[in-house]
Amino acid sequence: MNKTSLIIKREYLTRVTKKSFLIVTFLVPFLFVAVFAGVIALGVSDSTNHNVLVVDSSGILSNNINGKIIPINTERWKNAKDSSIVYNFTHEEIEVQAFLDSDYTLKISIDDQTVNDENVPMLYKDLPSSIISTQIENNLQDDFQEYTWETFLNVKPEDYKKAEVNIDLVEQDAENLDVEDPHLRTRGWIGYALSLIIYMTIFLFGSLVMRGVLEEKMSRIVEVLISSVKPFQLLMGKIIGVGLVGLTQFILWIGLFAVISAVGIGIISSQTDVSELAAQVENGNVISQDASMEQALASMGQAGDYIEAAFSMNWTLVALCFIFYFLGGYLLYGSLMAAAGSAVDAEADSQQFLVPITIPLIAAIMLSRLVIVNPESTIATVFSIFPLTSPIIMLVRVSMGSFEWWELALSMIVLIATFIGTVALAGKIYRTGILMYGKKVSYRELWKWLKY
Amino acid sequence: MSKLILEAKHIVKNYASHRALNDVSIAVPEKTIFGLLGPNGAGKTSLIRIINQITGPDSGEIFLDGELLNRSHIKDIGYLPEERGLYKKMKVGEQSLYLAQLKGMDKSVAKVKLMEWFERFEISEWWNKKVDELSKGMAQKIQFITTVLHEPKLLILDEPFSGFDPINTNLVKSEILRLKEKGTSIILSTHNMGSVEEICDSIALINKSEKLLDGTVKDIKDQFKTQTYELDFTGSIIGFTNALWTNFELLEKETDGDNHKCRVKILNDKMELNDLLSSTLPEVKFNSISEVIPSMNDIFIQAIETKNAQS
Repeated sequence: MNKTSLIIKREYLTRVTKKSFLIVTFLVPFLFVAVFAGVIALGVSDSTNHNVLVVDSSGILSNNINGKIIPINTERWKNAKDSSIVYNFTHEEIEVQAFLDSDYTLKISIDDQTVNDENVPMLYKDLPSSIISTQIENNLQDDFQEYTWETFLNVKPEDYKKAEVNIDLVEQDAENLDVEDPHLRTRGWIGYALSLIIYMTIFLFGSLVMRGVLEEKMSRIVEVLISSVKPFQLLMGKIIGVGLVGLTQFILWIGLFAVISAVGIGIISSQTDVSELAAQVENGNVISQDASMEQALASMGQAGDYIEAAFSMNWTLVALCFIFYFLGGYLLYGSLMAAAGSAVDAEADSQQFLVPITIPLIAAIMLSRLVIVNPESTIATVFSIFPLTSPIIMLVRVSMGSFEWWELALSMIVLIATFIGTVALAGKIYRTGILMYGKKVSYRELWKWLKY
Repeated sequence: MSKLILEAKHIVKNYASHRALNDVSIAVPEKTIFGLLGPNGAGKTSLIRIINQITGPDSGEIFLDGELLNRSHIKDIGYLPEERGLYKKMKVGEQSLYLAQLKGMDKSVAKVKLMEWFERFEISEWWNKKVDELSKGMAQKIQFITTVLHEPKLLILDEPFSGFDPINTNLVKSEILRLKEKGTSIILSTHNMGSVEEICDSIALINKSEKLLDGTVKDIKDQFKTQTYELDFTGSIIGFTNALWTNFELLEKETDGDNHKCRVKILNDKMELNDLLSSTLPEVKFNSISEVIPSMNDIFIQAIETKNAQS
């Protein structure tokens, strides 16, 4: 058996047979889903209940019916969606002290001048979440808009609704007119999520390689090993072995995600009328003009938007790019981190080399938000070809479908060329570093090692 | 001279800031134990790493068994480095098999051989233990086994006795001698002079990147002999001292009543032991006479101090 494959085998087997590998593999998808669900749940619902006093001394928003002050648009102020807010209308202003002594948590005051100065003061005891504030503001906005249409232009609320239009700008590629594309940006965010996975796994598996190098160095087994194999074989064996562990984990994750989402869709579809959606997916008829499905998706709000966008993606290409850029990025960063590991004596010392290595990766994640906004800008093009950032940026652009084929080809070629160069470079540092003990290594020192 | 297992010719190795080896040549005869001696930082490890092809020389050539050194020789060499260790989390048996396979051994053959060695060292029950459950001495035994398992023609042991207790030191020593009997050539790098005298056939002494001397242990000792004798006699020490005259020098004396033990050095090159005896014989009654042979330790220190004084 070839020596490099022996090393790959050892690196692979010692990791995948560890308990921690199984735990991570099976727990991460659940944690991922749980954290996402948790964040969404936390963000959407404000757990505090609000008891809002609306002081409408102008009488614009409310009527006095048999001594009870009732909003004109009862539907709007009823808050069917979120019962954690209760509105109470009154025409009589109260003192601040009276508000503080009362059970009300918020007080908004509307008077005759509100129409003109367009400011509504809101007193609070504890600052409410922006979601609550926005909701109140939207209600006021709608009420006043209807009032002004009726008062100044003599248009009834019902007619005003009819006249209202809501324009969506549909961006279309002139070279590809057949494709209707309202989901460009949303796809960008899906790509962003994918590139986040790449980012995290490069970190995860890169540091596994680094720790593996350090383990061999610190346990002093490395000199025995390199009297049997070339340092470069040892380095490559380790990088490839750990990379295969990464791929194995991805495949298991994809499988698990498929199971979880199948179960998830099952739960959603049993609760709402999106059962057709699942049927559509099974039939492969992904973009449906079916009105009922549109409706179903619309009822799901933003989530529906993401599902529609996901259906409009070229998943074969995205998946291939995902694997390619994970491997390319991992080989590039993994070899650099291996070199960093070989240059130090303890994990704590590796920080000085790790920080500069990881800066481009972090920068790429931040840049990718700009790329979603402007996917065909010069910045987007440059950083989707620049090898240290391309695994992140190009993946976002590919997910959006907003790239030229030559850009993708060039980006891949540059990445391949660079990781070959980096692996060679890392090999040189590694060769010297693994036998160097008790020496604080500077960048100048590393530069010398390259020339040995 | 017998056939050489290893011949290094004019090896030069430079690192960024210093020269580690400066025109060093050594010749290791087959089926002998060769001591590579020198103080720390002399260049021993650099030379050993070049022989193991961990690094390459800047100039010079190495021949193993008559052939120019190349990658196919990896399996012919067994190397126990000074800085040695094992994977802490890996099981002993699994790990030994892995290291054997990296040396090019077939897995099933390696397993049979390993079992034999484990039995001889009485450590069979460690097979499924992890290395971090073992003591340092235990781990050293495993390292020794994995070094010699593939039956290399040339065995290079860098400070093999460090970290062993006296019992295990003797075990390893007898294994080294047994391997020599079976025809293995051994390079022993050490500054433990006691073991050198005991088991080495020939040596090379390296200091500050250069070879100071080499040859068989006997030749070197002869070379460093100083015509000094230890004389044990009964009689008058004054008469003895007077009889020494100018050709001899009394170095040390130890007196116990009428018994004396003296070390005398012959200063005149033309004179020898018989002249010393004939001049002092009338004065005293000799009990024993022996030549003072320098220990390797003395030679080591003397050679290095002489060299350092010159430079």
